[in-house]
Amino acid sequence: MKIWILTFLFIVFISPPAQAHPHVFITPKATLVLNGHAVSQINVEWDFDDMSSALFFESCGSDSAAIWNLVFPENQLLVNGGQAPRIGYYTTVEIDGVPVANLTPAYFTANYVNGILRCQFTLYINRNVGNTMKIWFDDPTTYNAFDIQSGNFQFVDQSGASHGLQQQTEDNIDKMFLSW
Amino acid sequence: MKLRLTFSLLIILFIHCPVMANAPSPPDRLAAKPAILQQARDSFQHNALLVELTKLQQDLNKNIAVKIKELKQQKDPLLLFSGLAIAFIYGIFHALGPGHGKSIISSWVIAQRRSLGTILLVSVSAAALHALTAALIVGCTYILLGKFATVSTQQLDVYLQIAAAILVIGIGLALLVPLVYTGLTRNRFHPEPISPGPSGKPFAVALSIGIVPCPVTSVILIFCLTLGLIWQGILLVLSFAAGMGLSLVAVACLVWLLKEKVTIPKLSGFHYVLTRVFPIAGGIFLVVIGSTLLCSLL
Repeated sequence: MKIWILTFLFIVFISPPAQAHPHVFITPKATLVLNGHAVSQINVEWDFDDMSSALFFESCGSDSAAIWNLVFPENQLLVNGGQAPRIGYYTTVEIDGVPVANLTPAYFTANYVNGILRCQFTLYINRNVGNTMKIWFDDPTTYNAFDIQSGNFQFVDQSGASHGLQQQTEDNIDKMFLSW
Repeated sequence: MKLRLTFSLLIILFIHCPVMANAPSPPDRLAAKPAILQQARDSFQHNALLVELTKLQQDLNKNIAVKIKELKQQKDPLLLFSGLAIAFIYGIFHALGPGHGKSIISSWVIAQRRSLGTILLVSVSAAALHALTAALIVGCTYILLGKFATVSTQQLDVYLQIAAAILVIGIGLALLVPLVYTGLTRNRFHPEPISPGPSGKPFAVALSIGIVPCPVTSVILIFCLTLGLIWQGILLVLSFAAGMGLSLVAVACLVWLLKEKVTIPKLSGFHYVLTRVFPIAGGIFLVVIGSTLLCSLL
């Protein structure tokens, strides 16, 4: 009996003050632009949840620059009371098992569709792929939660080739896999 | 015994790994990490339980937004009631994730000899303050600036979190100082241990948890206000706060019950740990937690 009591007390007693509950829910969509084995860019769209969209509109209106600063703040304000420097753009692209470094969104736009904040940006890749490519979205602070749905992802191959695009879960993270 | 101990350690690992892995790393360091280390980090960070909790909250977030939109169209009391029920459940699950509120209140309960009534009062007050602070910021921002939210309210959050961190340090010191004083007095003048009196004011504990505004409360309220649903928004926020309060009360009561249960066999080594080591460790923990928060903010 004592071991269980000690275990419970240990858990609650030394539970670190990290925030692990989400506050903003984002539904990502993406179009991968390919030409055979060459991946040129990924056009990404994020649809925010209704309530966060209202908050963004009240804070910044339709000002894309201001929304950019809120979506990708230089110093992320964590719910646990800390601040963390920006550690990427919540987007990870992996080609043949190797992550693509320094992904920076370009052509960021923000607009509201039926009250929903829709942010769009382009990720330039310009790489050749051997066999597989993965893309996923993840905020390590857990402040933003991403809801991956396979129907929201597609590819456009200028060479007309066909590929397999499917959703898989790795280490409890939903990822999109594109295979050649 | 070994099996139980192993299982207990696995539970601890299961709960703590995603939280420990939350510390962000600079991008260059991330890029330099071997793939296997990156995979290990990801697997620690994304605990199955927390992922399910997130998905559940996402559904609740969608449902409550739909209910609020429907409330705009028709003023049906049943619709409002179902919205309040969803807000209540959302509050329960939102407060279940790891957070400083549960750590502070658990440390305080362990370190102090308080009645169940006081612990209930502190838990409920903390949850109410958590929601009330957010509602006050939204209200005051609208009165002063004519908008429900501005980017500058994020800066206000930082100030409030600094205040909370200072309060946490203060509570920790308030717990430690009498214990140290008692220890010194006992050593010099009394051979028998003297039980320290209660310290760490309940209101200060509730304030240190509740002063940091709850972002979800803010977005629910702002969403309702932008649709012109003022009193419905306030009711939903109250219901959400009640749900958070229930989670906090459950954790605090469980810690209190376990502590009360294990203090029965006096003069044992375990009794010594609970009555002497835990209060000191609780105070130290609060000072460390507050200092960590403060350092990260300054």
